[in-house]
Amino acid sequence: MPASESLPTIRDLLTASADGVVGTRDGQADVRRGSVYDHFAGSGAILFTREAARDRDLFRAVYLDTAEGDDLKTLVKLRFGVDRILASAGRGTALLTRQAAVAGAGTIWQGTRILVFASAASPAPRSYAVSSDVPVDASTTALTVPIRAADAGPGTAVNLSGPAVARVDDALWDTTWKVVAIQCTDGTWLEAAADLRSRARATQLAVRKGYAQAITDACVAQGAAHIALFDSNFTAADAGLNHCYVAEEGFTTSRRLTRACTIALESYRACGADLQVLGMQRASVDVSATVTLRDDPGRLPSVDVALRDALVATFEPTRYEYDLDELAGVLSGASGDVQDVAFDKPSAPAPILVGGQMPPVLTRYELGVAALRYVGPS
Amino acid sequence: MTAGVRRSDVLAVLPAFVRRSDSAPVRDALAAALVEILRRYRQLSAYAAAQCDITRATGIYLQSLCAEHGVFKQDGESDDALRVRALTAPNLVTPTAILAAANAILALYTSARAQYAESALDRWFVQDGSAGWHSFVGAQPQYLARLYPADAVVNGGFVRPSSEIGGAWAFADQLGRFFILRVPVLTGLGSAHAFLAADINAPVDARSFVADGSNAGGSEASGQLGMFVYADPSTALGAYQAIVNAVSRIKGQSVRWAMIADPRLGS
Repeated sequence: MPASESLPTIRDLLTASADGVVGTRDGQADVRRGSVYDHFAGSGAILFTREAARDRDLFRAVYLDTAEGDDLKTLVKLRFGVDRILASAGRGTALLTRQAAVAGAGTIWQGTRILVFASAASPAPRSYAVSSDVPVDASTTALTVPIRAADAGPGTAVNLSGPAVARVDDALWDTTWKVVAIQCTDGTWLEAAADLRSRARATQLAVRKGYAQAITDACVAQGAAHIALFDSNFTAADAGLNHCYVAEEGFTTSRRLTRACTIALESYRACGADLQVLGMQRASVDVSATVTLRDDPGRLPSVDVALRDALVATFEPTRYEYDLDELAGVLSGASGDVQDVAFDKPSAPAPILVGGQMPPVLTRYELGVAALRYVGPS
Repeated sequence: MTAGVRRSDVLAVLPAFVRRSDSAPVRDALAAALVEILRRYRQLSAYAAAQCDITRATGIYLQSLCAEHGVFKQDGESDDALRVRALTAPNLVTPTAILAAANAILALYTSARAQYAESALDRWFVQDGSAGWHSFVGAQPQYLARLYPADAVVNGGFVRPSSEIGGAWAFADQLGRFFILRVPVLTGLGSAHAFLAADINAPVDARSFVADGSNAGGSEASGQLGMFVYADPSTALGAYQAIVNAVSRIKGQSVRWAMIADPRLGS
């Protein structure tokens, strides 16, 4: 019931009450402020303005764009199956040791603070706390305690070990306990209402049958870790045949996976848009190239690290093809000193299509051994 | 203000001098009346808000909200089942959805189920004999990757339901985006049926009324006497048209399709 009209005010309701009395009961009635009529009209007006606000909130809770707080959280869960990301503190463990068990048994109490010292990675010290009571027997000299970040939110991830990374920041019965290792995950902020609404809508769109996201999700549900979809016009001659390549972790494909995905996709793909499910394989690409620099290599700063990093980076995303000109461009782009690149290996590009057709197995290429030889201009 | 309304809530907003007296029958009666009005008001406004919410609405209000999603209540369907359908991603365009739509109509007339095939992968592949595969002339194609029900054993039990190809299919083009829906031949739908009443609990009531036509304007015409003959208003063509209508509503745009009544699927 979203309305453009503002909620009635007490004055609106008092006026309505007075008009009602005068118009329907007693034309001479005293409805001025302080009159007998006003006693109950006033209280009624106060109470009904509250009811109007309550009605507004009730109906705002019904709609995705106006619900807030718990109402919004419940709404997106019931209608979209989406859980709101709540504020949470990172969690982890700390390893504590003591030289000797002279102080005997005791308890490391929940809430005992552990301070991680400032470092280059984190200029400010960070505070964590033991998340539950940990009883310690008389002979224990090392134990792992559960911890949580002192504050909710991200930025609390830590994974440190060593004698000077952290300390117990509250008094224990045994002051010789030292923190020798600590690890903790990041926490989360409460997801903003706008972000939650956006995510709920995106989730709803993603499950639509016949769309790429739903098809991909269906393959993941069958155990696929890598999925590549190709429309039928990826080949020069469009025969209406679409392709879905699937692979498990490591870019290998079992027969079970292709069969399971084939069957599962019958509930997600468009009937009539033939979709062939095929597998993947992995191949290593050794690179051997002669790099011509703008000057004698001995008179230039070394570009070797930059070029190797560039090669690694270009193969880092999932890559199902490579082209020699593209690789030459990657090397040239990594340093302005590069004038030309000639490849011994690979000797030819590797496109996705094989003989103009989609391959029976899609190859994921990885960088193998890279051998770069540098020469000056001839 | 979400808790229930109490008398003290009303008294709290009255002028102080009205509240001062412990015993004020008229004041208390008016306050009690206002409490009841507010309680009833809250009850109704909460009901109205709930009936606007698809997760809480019931009855005709739920049906109306679901209708806005294009989901309509079926006979005997509970509110919860209807709500789940409305909040679930609609089952459209997929082979599963299209088979379900066709089979829902076929189920009224036959136990046989529709089968589907697609032009790009289920077609008859012909070659000159030089390849390692053959064209399955005179035999059902055995394209193992298609996971036909007939190849279930070879494929380790992996089967695409209702994908029995039924023979070689030749298509006039290689454009794809074309599926075939094979349905059983529907026969006898227009036949008239005579019904004989049967009553196991009261056999004396089980009888067939046969008239001789001598009182066509009286007891025979009024149904008090006579043989009741029922002619199903359905026809095979009508049933096929219903399938065509249902599939056309949910198939993907630009996808071509054809329906074939195939005697091999039974009747």
